Amino acid sequence: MACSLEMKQLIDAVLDKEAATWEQEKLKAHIQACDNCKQHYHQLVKSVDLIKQLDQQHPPEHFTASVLSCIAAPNREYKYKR
Amino acid sequence: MDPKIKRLIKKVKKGDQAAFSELVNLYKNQVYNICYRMVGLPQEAEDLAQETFLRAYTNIERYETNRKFSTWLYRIATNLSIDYLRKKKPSDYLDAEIPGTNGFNMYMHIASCERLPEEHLLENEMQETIQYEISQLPPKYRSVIVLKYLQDLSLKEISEILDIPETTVKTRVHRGREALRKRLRHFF
Repeated sequence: MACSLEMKQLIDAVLDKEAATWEQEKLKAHIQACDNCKQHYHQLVKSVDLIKQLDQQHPPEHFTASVLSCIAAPNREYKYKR
Repeated sequence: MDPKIKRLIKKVKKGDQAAFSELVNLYKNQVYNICYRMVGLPQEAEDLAQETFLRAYTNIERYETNRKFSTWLYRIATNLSIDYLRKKKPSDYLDAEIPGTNGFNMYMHIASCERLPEEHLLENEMQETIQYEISQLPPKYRSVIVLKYLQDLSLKEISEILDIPETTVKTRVHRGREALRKRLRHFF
């Protein structure tokens, strides 16, 4: 875990790409000295990277055709009725 | 908004089904991906994505052309997915143990059925593991993580899709990211 609320907020700001240059420098300097924050920061960066690496999934070939056939059929059943 | 989309919607409002089929083709990948990452099951994702487009078609009159069409469409998709998750019985979850199988769950079952050739093995297992960890997040964090990191949408767009303030989206991104870190850290 980050060693303080201030560092946690700084890490979030950097990951959100909202940190000013001086804030980035501050975090950089801090994690060189603080193993907890260094680990926390790198684990977050890696988690985001892993998520972003997930492949795009593709709907089946017949997808558009089935949507269109449902539109054409009048009394379709609502599977996910609210 | 994109003039091409605008023209298509105008036609759809007049009942042009061919124009609607063009819209489906343009957005089906994103809509399917949102549903897939929300529910984690291909068949359910397909049903939810299909329902999203059917709702869009029947409610097209309610869509205001001054807003972004994708925002409106993704809103239907996320609402349907969240409703689905809410109604799902806990025993339907992938990690629910199958009775009498001593620790065997549906997740393992899917992994073994969809095994790819050797060279993709590790990569594929990693993908499944990450999807599994996403599906363990509470839906309110899951939706922001999916929209931000998989659909690459801005906080503003996400706030419009989910109908929550941007500050709330931001908090959920932070908490969702932290929850994922806790779940994924043993991989690093």
